[in-house]
Amino acid sequence: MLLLEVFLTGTTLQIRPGIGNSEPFLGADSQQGWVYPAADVANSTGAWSTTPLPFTAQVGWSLTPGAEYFVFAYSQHRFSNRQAVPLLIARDQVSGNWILAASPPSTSEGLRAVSWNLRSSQPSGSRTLLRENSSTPIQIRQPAELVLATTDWSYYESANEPAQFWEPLLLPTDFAAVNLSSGAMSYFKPPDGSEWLAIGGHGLLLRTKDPTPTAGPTP
Amino acid sequence: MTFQVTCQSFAPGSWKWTGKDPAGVGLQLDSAFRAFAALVNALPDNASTPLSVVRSHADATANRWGYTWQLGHPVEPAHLWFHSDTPATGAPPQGDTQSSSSAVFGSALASTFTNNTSNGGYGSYSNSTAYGTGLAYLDSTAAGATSIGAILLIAQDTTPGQEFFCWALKTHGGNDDLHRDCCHALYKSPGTTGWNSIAVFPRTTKQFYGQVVLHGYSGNRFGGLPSGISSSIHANGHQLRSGIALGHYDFTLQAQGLFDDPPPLIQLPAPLFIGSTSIRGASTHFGKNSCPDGVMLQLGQRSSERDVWLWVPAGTSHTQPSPWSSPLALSHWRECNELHFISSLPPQGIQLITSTADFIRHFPPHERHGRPSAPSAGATALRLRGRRYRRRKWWWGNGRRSDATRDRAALAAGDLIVSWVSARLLLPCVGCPDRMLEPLLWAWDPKRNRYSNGHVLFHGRHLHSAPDGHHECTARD
Repeated sequence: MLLLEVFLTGTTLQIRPGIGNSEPFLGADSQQGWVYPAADVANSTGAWSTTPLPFTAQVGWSLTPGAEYFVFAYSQHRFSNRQAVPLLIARDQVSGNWILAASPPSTSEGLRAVSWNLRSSQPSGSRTLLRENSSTPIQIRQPAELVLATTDWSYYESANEPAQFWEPLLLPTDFAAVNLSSGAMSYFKPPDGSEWLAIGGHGLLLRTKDPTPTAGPTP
Repeated sequence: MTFQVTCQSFAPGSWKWTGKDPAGVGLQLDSAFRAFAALVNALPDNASTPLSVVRSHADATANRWGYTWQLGHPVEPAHLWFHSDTPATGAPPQGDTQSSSSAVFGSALASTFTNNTSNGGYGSYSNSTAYGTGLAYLDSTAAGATSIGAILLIAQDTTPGQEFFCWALKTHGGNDDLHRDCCHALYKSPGTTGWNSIAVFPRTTKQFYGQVVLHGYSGNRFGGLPSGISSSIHANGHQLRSGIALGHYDFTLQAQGLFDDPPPLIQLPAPLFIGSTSIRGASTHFGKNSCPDGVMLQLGQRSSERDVWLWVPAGTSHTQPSPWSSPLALSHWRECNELHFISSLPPQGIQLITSTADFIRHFPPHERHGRPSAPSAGATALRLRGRRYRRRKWWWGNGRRSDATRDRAALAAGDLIVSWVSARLLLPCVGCPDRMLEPLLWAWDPKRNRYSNGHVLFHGRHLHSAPDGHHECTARD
């Protein structure tokens, strides 16, 4: 069972990813018994402003078999610390399992995601989208891949966990990643004719228009 | 030849990087590479990109030892080299301090090469790029390294489209801190014809010079392959990844918004798992991980920048004539736990975009297909006169040409056109002052059958765009 709790408490939006009832012990657990997908995929928080502000929200979904997703995102204003994706449910393009993910309105605290590894059925988690750093040319990168966060067992002196093999976590093709630091509601038109809407504050793009089929030479 | 992994062991006393013995490591590596090159050069797809040897250990005249290989290209071949430099006399084991770089990994265009015996027999380059690195314990016949042996491991694949040649050098014995196990691979990435190169020199506590050196050779230069490796690997995970896809792109063109068709992403060779480890586990540089479907062998060393492992699937051939043998038979390997190996999938690709609005692409003056429409299609223009901001007319949507012409006819000198793109001042034409020019709007160019910007040369006539259409101008601006 994958768990994702989104708390809105006062001025804080907190995202807490979890793996339900693992047996034997798999991820990394909190003092309250909450099992995180990896040791450092714990809570993620950001500030939620209660001051009335210009507010935009984006909802996207698809029922395409094998590539289903639902995403809700908002931006309270153009400040990069007010842009969040409180909910993203998507089908992992490798394993076919669900990915449950969210990112809070914060520039420092990134995305949290939980899923299951195809090969070992181990819980699988992520803290970030795979993006080139911002000093490389700005690029829309497909597929949108989540960087796997794994528990570094070597620091648990007695664990001696066997080596593990993992497959990547990939979001459906309607998503992409851009290496810009923020900019929810930014809109991108790359040369292939596709169009993309930036959602959240961490470079996640949602496709609004498919690429133009390759046309013949223009006179 | 499908994927094949073989090795040769050089026992203490016979291990000597700095020598020309035909049975020694240098010339054995050379002959293995020549055999690989002969096979892949015979493939039709490599006809214009043959590999060849420019220098080998046999060419050494002084204290420089290594190889220079040529990556073929129809226009401009390139050179890659790996050289060690040994002190002339009384050599201590190489690389025993952090700051001593005892070897160089470099690249240059073949045209910059002076083919002579300078630089220890390896010739000189007028323009080259070099990365400092190191080898340790170069000569087990010399004092200080007599207990050192080494293993030369070669993984190769000559399957068309999957060409891959990787050598790794692993020393053993002596001080565990001082080994400098490294690897260098040439490979092809799907969708590209040229050769790509990756060299991994792990940085350790005793090795200041450590890095992953990536090269993609695209014709007249080595392209940067900005490192997606760092972003692909979770910082604290003891993770090693394969199949990382890197962009191979040109910063200059991209910044101009002209790089509409980036080359395909370069996919690092699938058998190599590159990542970040720390000094834990059963061995710092002879790690092994046995699985039901294969074996993972450590080519590099425990290092946060970067360790490298090789996936040897079950059934991999190890067949080569003696003295080559299977590396799996070596007793040096130690089973290691606590590592995460992440495989990857072929990339779908990237689209380069400008970080600011690209007016040429994003706000085209007319529709790309079908009949041409007004230059200002889609824009909202607000006309302002003098200091009185009087709204005169709005242009909406996909206006037809007649609308635009009618609207423009009403414009006069000093008008300010405000659109969602920018503001421009109307100026009278130099040659015909009764005409207003709109230098940044678009005129119909009958020659090219499309709208053109401002000043149009047509059959030797100078035409200007103007609010009431283009006209011939007597001025030559």
